Amino acid sequence: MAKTWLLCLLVLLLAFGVAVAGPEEYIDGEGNLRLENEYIAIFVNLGPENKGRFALDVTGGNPEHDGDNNKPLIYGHPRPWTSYTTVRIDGENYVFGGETSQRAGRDGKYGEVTQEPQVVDGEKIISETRMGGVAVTQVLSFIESTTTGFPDTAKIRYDVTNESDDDKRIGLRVVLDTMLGPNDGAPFRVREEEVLQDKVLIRDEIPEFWQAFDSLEDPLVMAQGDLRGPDLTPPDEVYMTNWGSLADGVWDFNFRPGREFYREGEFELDSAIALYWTADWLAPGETRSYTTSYGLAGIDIVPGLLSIGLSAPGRVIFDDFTQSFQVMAYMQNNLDVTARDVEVALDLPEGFEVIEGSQRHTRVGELEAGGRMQFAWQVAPKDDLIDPEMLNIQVRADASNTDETRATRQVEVMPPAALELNLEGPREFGFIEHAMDPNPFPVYGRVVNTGGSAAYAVQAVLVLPPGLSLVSSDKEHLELGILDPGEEVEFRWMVRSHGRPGDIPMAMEVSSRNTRDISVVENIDVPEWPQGIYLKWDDTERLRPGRVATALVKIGNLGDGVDFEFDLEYPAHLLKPMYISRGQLMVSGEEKLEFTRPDYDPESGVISGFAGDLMEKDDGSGVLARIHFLVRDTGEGMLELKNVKVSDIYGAPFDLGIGDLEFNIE
Amino acid sequence: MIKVNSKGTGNLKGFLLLSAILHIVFLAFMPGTLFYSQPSAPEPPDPLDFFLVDYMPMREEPPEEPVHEPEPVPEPEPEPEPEPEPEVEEIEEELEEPPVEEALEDVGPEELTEPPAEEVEEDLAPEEIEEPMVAEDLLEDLDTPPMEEDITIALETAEEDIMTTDLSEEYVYLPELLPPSSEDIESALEPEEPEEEVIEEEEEPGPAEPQLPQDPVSAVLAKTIPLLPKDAANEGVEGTVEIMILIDQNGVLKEIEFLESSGDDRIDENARLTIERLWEFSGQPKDYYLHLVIDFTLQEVTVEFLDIFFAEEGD
Repeated sequence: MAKTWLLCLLVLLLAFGVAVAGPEEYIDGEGNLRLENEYIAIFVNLGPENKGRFALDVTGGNPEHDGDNNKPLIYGHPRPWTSYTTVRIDGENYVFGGETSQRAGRDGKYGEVTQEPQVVDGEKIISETRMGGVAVTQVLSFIESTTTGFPDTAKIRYDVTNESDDDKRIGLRVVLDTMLGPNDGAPFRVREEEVLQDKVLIRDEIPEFWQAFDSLEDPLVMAQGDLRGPDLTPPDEVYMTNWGSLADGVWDFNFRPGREFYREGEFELDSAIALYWTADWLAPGETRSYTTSYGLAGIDIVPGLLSIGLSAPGRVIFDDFTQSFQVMAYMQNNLDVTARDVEVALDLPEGFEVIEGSQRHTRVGELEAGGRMQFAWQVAPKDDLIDPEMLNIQVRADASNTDETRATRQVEVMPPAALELNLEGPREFGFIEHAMDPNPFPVYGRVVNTGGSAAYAVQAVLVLPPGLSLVSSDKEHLELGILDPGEEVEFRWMVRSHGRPGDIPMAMEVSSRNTRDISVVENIDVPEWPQGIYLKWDDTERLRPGRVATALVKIGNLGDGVDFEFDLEYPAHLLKPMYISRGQLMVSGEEKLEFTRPDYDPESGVISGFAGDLMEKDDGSGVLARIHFLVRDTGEGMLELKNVKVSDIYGAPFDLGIGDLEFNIE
Repeated sequence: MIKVNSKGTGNLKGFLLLSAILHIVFLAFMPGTLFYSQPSAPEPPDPLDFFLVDYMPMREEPPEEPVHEPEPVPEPEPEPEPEPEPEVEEIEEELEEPPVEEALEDVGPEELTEPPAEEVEEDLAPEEIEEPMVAEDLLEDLDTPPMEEDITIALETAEEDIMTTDLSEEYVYLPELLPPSSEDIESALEPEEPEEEVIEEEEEPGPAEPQLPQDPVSAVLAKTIPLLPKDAANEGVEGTVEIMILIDQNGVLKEIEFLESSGDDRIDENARLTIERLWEFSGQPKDYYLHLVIDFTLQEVTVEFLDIFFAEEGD
């Protein structure tokens, strides 16, 4: 029995352990808001100075390598301040978050922090600053690294919304003060180049990712920043320089190609990277997102006399937007002597080729003791159609005075995302008192990802022809976000018909960052709207002797511009007219439309000579006049419209249905 | 004690009977009782109580049609703002009041929401007053001739500003302090020609003693203000160093001596390296010392030159 209880307790503990295995959030001992998983931690300064600035630590890091545990990835202990983000609004440079008195961003303008950094849904840290008529939200979360496959990478996103009434020209700069363990000045690795001096990459030069580590022999921390990808916004320019220059210049800074990464004003190496999204117009109410990522690099290192590090995405997707992937290899001579006749070769599976970068087989020649080299290949399938499979990529390094070293890496080819759409409106409509029912009516859209990988930044747009419009509270553009394989999302628009009958087409267009734009058309059958003039009690509960009841004279579906005349007969022994007021159709904004005062004959029970001109009204439906009666007595009676003449703006009479009103006063 | 006789009893019965009849009659005609009849509706005073009233936004049409819309119900499109329907009593009052149209015209929406123009002007008034006051103050300042002391202080401040607020690597060259040309040196070394009368008075004109600029700043041809090291700033460490710099007669730095350390090696080292690598000095007739203090704070770094003097032989 005791064993059973023990077993149950163990199961509960395990279940609880699994349940809490997600990211953990807490305020650390230094007062930062910290969100961490078993690989890395994001921590955000809670201010008051530098509020919202963030840094990264490794927690468990690479599971096969303990050297990176609890080491910094971005400079920031005890409290982050050196990495910061500038939002350029109409030429003014605002720094995201709280003000600073320190060097980094001191010369920038500052807005108001409108949302304190806080963990949302246990998975991201969000904060918001409003500046220059613009709201900027910083969202920090974990995503899987492209090269490790683990959630050891921070996704850094800024959503910028123009809250003003004017177009704004908005740009963004993100400065990351990279730090690999104790090394604040590690070089960057970009394609075939080890970057040790100021360097800029512009647009097409920008690679899928860059990496940084200090040594292939015993790298403490290996970092990677992703610049391209289906869920990322490629920057327009990338600057690699010293942190001091970026700290002093909040947008423009002292950039000197060829200068080493010595911190400006000091004499220590301190590398940092700045990602620029150049200024572009943003209309009022619109939002633009900028996303990048930084975290751990997946580099398979094979030690040897010629050690090799090999890195490539763990999964690749070939679709209309991605036709190749990047492979990087690092080589270091660990001999005490020069390696001679060094050769490096890349082995690819059948059907793949190198389309850009290093030669597949490179004769290096001599490599001095301790010397390093790096290689980059852009690999693509030879044919368009690639079946999902696991690719084995191998790099061999050899020299005449060493043994050969081989490094292998597997790359999984994933099927691309594929979206299917459906759009559905009401099958039929009815009428209630001359009004189409339902109107407005719902139109349901559905998008499902039937592909093998996620679709990013999915958007749906409803396109309506004349005669149909969205209700004011709905927007034609819907942001659906990321759709994982097999995921389905349903949404709805409310559409209003304006009386144009017929088989009317509606279209839904869906786009995403990594699929082709597709659309679907759905027709709805809008019936002819019946035209008429009729009477109605505003509130039948008021039909009591001694009370005032209001009769409404209404028209339905008469279209634009209507001239009308009519008389009204009423039972004088039951009702006594008190006064008449205009209906809402007889008022256009502040303007009262033409409405002739009718004559009143109390003996005959006739109010005669109602007349008016509606000019242009929406769909010609609504209340023309209100007649307020004092109810005299009980009994049955009828309100009748007489001598009705309704014509359009050209004088052509309408063939109307006329609705009199019977009633019973109790 | 009440005594009642037979005659008195008869009077009492009559009184009670009369009282009962009166009560019954009164109760019978009370509202809600048997003989009560509802007052007829007031006859129309024809046709004076019948009005055409211009548009009064009444309570907006209630949703007349039964709602069959699928959930959730969409937001209705904006229509004229409704008002509550007047009760009968209100109507009677309205009949005696001026026409509604006038009332509506009298109270426009602008008047309800915007303050009168006069009030706006009043609100703005203080600002309008403040500006001229500031201007007058400035005029007063300008009108008042500066005291001689003020001028001196201002010049000193300006000079300090030039030399100490340069936080960038930009070199500051003071034209008047450029390395002296050979002609300048010669002219400097040549004793000034005294006036003839003086020559006559002096018995033996000795060689002129070498001079140093009075202001130590002027001996520094180019300098970069050192910065508080990043790691120190990160820890909130600040400090002040007092330094003596030995410069040879050619303007070459020979030695840096820390008279007082900041207490933080990073700060001391950055001060030393900045001076060693980024500063340039003027040549002087002899080796000389510069005595200065550098104050490193989180907000800024300032350099104060305290003294300049020739080195003794053997220094």
